[in-house]
Amino acid sequence: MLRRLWKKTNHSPSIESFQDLITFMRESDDFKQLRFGNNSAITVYYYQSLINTEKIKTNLLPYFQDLSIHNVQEIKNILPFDETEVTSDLGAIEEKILSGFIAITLKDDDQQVLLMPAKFETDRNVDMPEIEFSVIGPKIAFIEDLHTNVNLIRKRIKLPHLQMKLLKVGKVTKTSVAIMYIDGIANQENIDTIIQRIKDIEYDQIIDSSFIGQMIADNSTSPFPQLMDTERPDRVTSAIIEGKIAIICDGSPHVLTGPTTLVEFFASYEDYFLTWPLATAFRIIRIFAVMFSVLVTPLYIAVLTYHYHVVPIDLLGTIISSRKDIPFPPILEVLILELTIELLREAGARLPTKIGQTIGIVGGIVIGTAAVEAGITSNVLLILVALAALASFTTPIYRIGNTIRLLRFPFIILAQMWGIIGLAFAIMFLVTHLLRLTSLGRPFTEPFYPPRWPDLKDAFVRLPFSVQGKRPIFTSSIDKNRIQLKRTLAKEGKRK
Amino acid sequence: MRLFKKSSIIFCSLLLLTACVKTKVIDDVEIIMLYGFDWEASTKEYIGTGVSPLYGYSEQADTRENAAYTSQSSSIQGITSQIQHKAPFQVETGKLTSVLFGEEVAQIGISDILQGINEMPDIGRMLHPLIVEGRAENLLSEQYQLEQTLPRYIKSLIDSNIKRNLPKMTLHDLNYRYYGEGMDPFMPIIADRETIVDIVGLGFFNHDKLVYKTGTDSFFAFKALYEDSNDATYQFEWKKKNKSLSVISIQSNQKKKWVSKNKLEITVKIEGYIAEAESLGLDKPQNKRKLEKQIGEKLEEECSELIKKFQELDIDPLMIGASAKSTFRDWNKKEWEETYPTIDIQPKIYFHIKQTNLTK
Amino acid sequence: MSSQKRKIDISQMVSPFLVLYILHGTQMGEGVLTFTRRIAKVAGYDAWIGILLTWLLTTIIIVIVWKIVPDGQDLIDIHHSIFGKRFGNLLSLLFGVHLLSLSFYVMRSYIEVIQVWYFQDLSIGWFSLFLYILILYLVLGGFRTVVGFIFFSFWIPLVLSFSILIAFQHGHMENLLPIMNTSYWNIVKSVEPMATGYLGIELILMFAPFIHKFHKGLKWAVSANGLTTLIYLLVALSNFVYFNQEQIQLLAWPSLHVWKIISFPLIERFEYVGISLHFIVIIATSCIYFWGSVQCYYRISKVSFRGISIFLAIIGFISMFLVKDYLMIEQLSNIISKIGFCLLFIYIPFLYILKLIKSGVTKSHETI
Repeated sequence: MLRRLWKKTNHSPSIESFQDLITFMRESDDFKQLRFGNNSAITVYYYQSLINTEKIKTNLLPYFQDLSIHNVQEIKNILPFDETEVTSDLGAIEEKILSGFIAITLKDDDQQVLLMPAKFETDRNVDMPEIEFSVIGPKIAFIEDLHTNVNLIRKRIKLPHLQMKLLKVGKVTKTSVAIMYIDGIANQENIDTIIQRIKDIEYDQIIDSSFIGQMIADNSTSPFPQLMDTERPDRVTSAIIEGKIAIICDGSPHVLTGPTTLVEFFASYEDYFLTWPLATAFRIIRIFAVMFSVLVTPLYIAVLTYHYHVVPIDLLGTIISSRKDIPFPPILEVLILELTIELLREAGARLPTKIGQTIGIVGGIVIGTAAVEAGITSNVLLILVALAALASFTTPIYRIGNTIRLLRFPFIILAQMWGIIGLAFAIMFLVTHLLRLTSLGRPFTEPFYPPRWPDLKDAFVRLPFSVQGKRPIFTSSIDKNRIQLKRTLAKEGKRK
Repeated sequence: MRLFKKSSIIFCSLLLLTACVKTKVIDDVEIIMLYGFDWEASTKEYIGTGVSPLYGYSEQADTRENAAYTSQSSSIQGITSQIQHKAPFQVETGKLTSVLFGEEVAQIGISDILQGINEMPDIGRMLHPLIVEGRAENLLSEQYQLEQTLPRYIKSLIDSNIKRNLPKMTLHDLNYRYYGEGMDPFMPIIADRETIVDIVGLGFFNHDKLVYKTGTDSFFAFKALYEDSNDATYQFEWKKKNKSLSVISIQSNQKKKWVSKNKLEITVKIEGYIAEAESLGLDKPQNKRKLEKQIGEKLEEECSELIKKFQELDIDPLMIGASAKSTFRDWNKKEWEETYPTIDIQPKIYFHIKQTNLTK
Repeated sequence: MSSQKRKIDISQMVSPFLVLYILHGTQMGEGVLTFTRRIAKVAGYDAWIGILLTWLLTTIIIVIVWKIVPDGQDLIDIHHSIFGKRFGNLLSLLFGVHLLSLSFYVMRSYIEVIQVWYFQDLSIGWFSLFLYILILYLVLGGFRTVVGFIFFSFWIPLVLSFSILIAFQHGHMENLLPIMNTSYWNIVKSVEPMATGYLGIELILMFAPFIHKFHKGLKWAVSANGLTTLIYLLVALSNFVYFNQEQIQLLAWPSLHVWKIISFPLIERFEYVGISLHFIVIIATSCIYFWGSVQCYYRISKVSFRGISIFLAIIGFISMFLVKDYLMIEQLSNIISKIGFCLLFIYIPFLYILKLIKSGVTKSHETI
C-alpha cells in the first residue's frame, strides 16, 4: 500500500525486490542492518526505534552461534517464538518490519525472509479508569495497546464463540482494528455492517477509536454519538454478551460498542453494582439532571423575557430585586455566564490536573461572586447556571456530556425568540432529530420508539436481574435467552 | 466555504429575529397588581387606579412601597393606556391579584369594567374582585405600614379569610354568576382603616349593581347556606348565661332540597368545637343537646332573615334559581323571576358540638 | 399517469398497535380546544350524549374502513379499481387537497391562539417558516419518524387531561342536570360539529399499507377511537360543569380558560405551559396530515417525495399569509367541518357500497 502511495507521488524509486525495499528503508537513520555468522551469511534488518534490542541480544544471538544453516525455514524451526513467519511477499515484509518485526535473510537466498517479532513495548500498565470511575466494582481500564485490551475482554468471556476479526485501517497509520463479538449471540447483520463500514474507511490516519466512531456513524453531522464509547472492560464485556459488537482500535484506550441507544448513555455501569431500586432512582435522577441542565437557562430567559405571569407572586419580588441593577437583558446575562462556565470548563480540562482544580474553584467562586457584585449577572441566575453545569456532569459517558453542554445554546436562542413556544420548538426539533438517528441502522430512541416494552426493563429503570432473562430486542441477537443458552453452550446435563 | 456562508446567513437572520416579538423583561415592566375603579359622575368617566409594587428599592426597609397611578377614561383599555403615560415602564396587567370597585361604581353597574377585564387574555381567573367602602382611589393611594406590599397584603388577607368565614369569590365565580341564569354575584367589602386594610362586610349585587350590604356578623350564616366550609368560626351570644361562646373549626355542608316547586329546604349540617366546654356544663348530654338546639335556632333565624332580604331585593346569591333549573325540566327564566320572591325557602340547621378539653 | 412504488420499504413500516397512537394523534388536534363551545351551541349541556353518539358512528366507520382496504393497498389503489384510472386519480387529487387544508387549518388556528395568548405582535412569516422547516424535517424522515413524533406527542394530552380534573373541584355538577332536557334531534345535530374532532379516520386509507399486518390494526383503531372519546368526554364534562351555558359561548377556547385557574408552587399560571405543550400535539397532527397529502400526490404523480413535500410546504407557507384574522379561521373551520362530516359519514360508506357492488359483479361474472 505504502509503495503504491509513493509511486503515485513519483518521488520514490520503484521497489521491485527485497533489496530495493531495504535500500529504500536505509534512508532512514534508525534502520539497522546486522550481519552474523560465517561470511556474514545471516543478515538481520530492523528499525532500531521499534525493536527491543535487548531481546535480540539475549534471545537471538545464541542461536546464531552454531551455524550450519541453509535456509530460513530452519531458523524458524529453531527459534522459540510465536508469530514468526517465512515469506517472500514484499507487502507483508514491509508491513511487519514497520510494526516491530525483525527481518532475517540468508546471503544465498534473499527472496525468502524470516520475520520475527521483537516489539519494543512502550505502553503503560493497566490502570484505574479515569473518566468512568466507579466507587464500587472493578477498577480497571483499557490502555493503548490492542492486545492488552483484547486480553482484558477475553479474560472475562470464557467461551470459544467469542470471536475477533482483525482489520487494518488507515492508509498511513495502518492501525489494527479488532472487532469482537460472540458468534451465536451477535446479529450477523450488525457484524457485516460494522466490518463493511470499517473496510470502507478511506483516510490516511486512524489515531484513536473516535476516528472510527465518527467515520462509521450513520449520521456524521449529528452532535449525538451513535456508538457507545467506554474505557471499562466490564462494560464492554457486558455489551458483547448482550449481543453488541465491540470495536477495539490499536492505540486507543476507548472501545466502541454498537448498536447503541440513547438511554444507554445515561446508564452508568455502576448501576449494575447497586441494588435495583437504588440504581433505578439514580438513573431517573440522572435523566432529570440532564433535562434540567438543558432546559433551565432557556426557561429562565423565556420566563423573564416574556412570561412574567408564570412566576409566583412570592417569587416575583426576589427575582426582580436580584435583577434590578443589571443593565443587560436576560439573554445577554445568560450568555455571559454560560460562556464563562464553558471557559472555566475548557480551561480546567486543558490545564494540568492540580492547577485545573484550583482554577475551577477560584474561577467558580471568585468570578461568580464578583460578577454578581459588579452587577453583571443576578445571583438567581448564577445559582441556576452553576446547577446546570453540575447537572451536565452527571452523565456517565463523557461524550454525551459534551453534547448536552452545547445543546442548550440553540435552546437559548429559540427561547429568546418565542419564549416558551420557542422552547417547544427546540424540543420538537430535538425529538425529530433523535427520531431520525440510527445506530448501525437500528433506531436510536429505542425502546421508547419504536416502543418495545420488554426493553424498558433496562432503560429509565433497571429492574432486578431476575427479570432480565432476555437480551434486549434492539440488538436482534440470535440467542435471545440469557439463562438457557441454546446456541453457544453445549448442554452439560440438566441444571436445576 | 459555502456551508460557512449559509450558516452565517442563518445565524444573522436569527439575530435579527430576536427583535421580532415585543419583550416584557420582568424588571423592565410596570406590573400592575391592583386595579381600582371609581365613577366620576361629572364627566361620566371611570377613574382607574393601578398599583404596582416597587421592588428592589425598599428591599432592606421594613415597609414595602407601592406606586399608584391614576387616570380617567370611559373604558378599561383607555385607562390602561392612560396609565402608560405616567408609568416609567411598559404597563403589564398579567399579575393582577385583585380588582377593586369603589362603592359608587358598584352601585352604577360593573358590567363595562367586567367585560373589559375579560377581554384581557393575560389576566388570570383566580384574582379577587372586591368592593371598597368609599373610593378605591383613596384606599390605593395611601401608604400603609405593612410588611408586605399592598397587593400581596390584600391577596393574603382575602385568601386566608376564604379558608375561614368569607365565602369564596374569584373573578371566574363572578363571571359565572354574572353571565349565568338564576344567580347573582356578591363580593367582599374592604375598607381603609388608617394603618391597615380590613374586610368589613359583603356586598350583594343584582346582576351588576350593588343593592345590599351586610356586616361581618352575617358571614357565617351566608357561608353556611352558600357553600361547604372547613375551618369557619361562629360567635354565639348565649343570652341565658349571658356568655359569648366561640365555636371553632366548624365543618359544614349544605344541601338544597326541593319539596315542591314552591318550597325549598336548605339543609345545613354543622360540626364544631367549643373550647371551654366543661365550664359550661357541657359534659352532661342534655345540656349539650340544649345548647346545640339553641345555636341551631339562632342560626336558622339569622339565615331566614338573610334569605328574606334576598327575596325582597329579588337577588339570588345563593344560586337557588340555578338549582331549580337543574331540578325542574320546564324551568324558564321569565317565569322564575316572577315566582322567586314568593318561594318558601326554609333553612334547616343541624348543629353538632364536638368537645375539646385540654384541661380537665 | 401511473402510480409510483407499490412496494413500501420495510424499514418504513410500523407495527399494527401503533395505529392506536396514530389515530388518536390525528384526532386530538385543535378541535379539543373549541368543540365544547360548538356542541353546546347546538345541544346545550346534553351535548355530551352527542359525543357518545358520534363515538358509536365513527366506530362503525372505522370497521367499514377496514372492510374497504385490502392488505397492502391504499386509497389510490381503491380509487383505481372502482373508478378507473383517470377519475380515480381526480378523486385522489381532491382527497389530497382535503388533507393539506386540514394540516394547514390545524396549524393556522393554533397560531391564532399563540397570538392571543402570548404575542399579539407575532409575525406569522418567520414563525410559519420555522414551522414548515420542522414539518419538512419530520416528513422527510419518512413515515416512521412522523409516527415517532406522534407517539411522543401522544402522552401530552394524556397528562394534560389530568390537569383539567381541577375543573370538577371548582365546578357546579348541577349544570349537567336535568339530563336530556333538549330534543333528540338537537343531540343528533350535535354530531356534525363533533365529527370534526374525529377526523383522522379517513387518513387510515392513506397509511394502511405502512402498517404491518394491517388487518390486525382494527382493534387498535377502535380503542384509539375509544380513548379519544374518553378524553373528549372528560374535557366536555369539565367545561360544562365549570362554565355555564351563557358563559361558554363567549369563550373562543373554553378548554384553555379552565387552565387559567390551575397553579403550581412554581408555575402560577399553568395555561402558559399548557398551551406550549399542546403546541407539540398540534404539530404532530398537522404533520401527519401533511405527510398524508404528500403521500397522496406522490402516488398519483411522477415527482419525487422530497420534491412534493417541499412544494406543498411552500404552498402552505404562502397560504399562511392569506388567512388574516379570526373570522376567516372560523369560516375555514366551518367549511372543513362540513367537508369532513361528508367524507366520514357519506363518502366512506359510499365507497364501501361501490366496492361491494363491484365485487358482486365480478363474482357473478366468474360464476357465469
